[in-house]
Amino acid sequence: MLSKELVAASTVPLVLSILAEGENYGYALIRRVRELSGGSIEWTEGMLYPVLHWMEEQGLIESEWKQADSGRKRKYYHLHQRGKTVLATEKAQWLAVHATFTQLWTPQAHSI
Amino acid sequence: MDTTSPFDLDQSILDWRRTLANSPAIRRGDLDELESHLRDSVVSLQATGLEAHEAFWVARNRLGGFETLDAEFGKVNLEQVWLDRVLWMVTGSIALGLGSGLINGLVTFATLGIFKLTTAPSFIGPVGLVLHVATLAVLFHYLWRSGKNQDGLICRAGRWLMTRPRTTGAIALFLTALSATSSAGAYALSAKLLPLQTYTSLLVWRWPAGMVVVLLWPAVLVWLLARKYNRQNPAVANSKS
Repeated sequence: MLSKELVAASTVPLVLSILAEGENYGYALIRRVRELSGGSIEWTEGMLYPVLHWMEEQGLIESEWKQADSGRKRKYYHLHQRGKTVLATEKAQWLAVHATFTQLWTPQAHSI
Repeated sequence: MDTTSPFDLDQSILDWRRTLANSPAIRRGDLDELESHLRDSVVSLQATGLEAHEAFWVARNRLGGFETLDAEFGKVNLEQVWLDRVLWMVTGSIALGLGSGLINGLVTFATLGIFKLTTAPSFIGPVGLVLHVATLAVLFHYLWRSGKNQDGLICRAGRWLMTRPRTTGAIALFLTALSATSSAGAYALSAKLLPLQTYTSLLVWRWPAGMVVVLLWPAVLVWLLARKYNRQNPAVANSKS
């Protein structure tokens, strides 16, 4: 399980990255993150919505109620222009952290 | 709990919604979204072989109980609820001020134009008032109807504006500047065209304290928008608690 701090820091980039694949709704976002992380990232389900609303308020994403095939309405979120910019920045930062750790933790790095 | 009667999913969801509705932090839109989530969760749990009442119970617990949801939404939503209300009030007040100024101006010019008068006769006041009230009534009727519909023009425009605080702030400032310029113009003209001044709605500009009030609204609006825009990511706020 991820620490509270890491969950907090990664929620926004995770949501942005999933929405970069196409529009989606809250329940599906949670399932997707659970699947991709093999269960190591487990969000408190009810907590995702305030985060999504905050992201919408910040102009990162936009939402729209749509009728699903089942006839029920679901609130779909999609990336907004500002979200794309923020995602690019986040991506560069996470990759920089990842690259640093990879170098440190790869055995060859210690050989000299 | 009555375990003999068959389980009614819709009724259970309705009861659950009613309980959550008691929280001031959870708004109607949140409830709709949470219900949509709960129903998705129930369907997928039932697909794994759970009975409807079991699926409902598990889905509800996964989503979080009343205390959890009230607290989680409250951490981030209470200020937002408050900000949104004040924001709408201020926006409405500015819009109403500008709208009635515009209507009054149009009515005055139209009436003066129709009667080809250079000085306003005494009946313009009552005629203008009737036209003014009638226009406002039509406007309110339309706003009320559109406001009830979540996907109506007003709601869509509202959402658009609320998610773009910078643009909204800029529009508010521009309109205020416009109103200030036109008022200043009317004030300057009034030296030559005294009757016009009598019938402009912006008499407030002849009263210095009034100017402060008029300028205060946009200032409050900009502050509210800035406050809204700079709110912290709730996920981060959450991890620190």
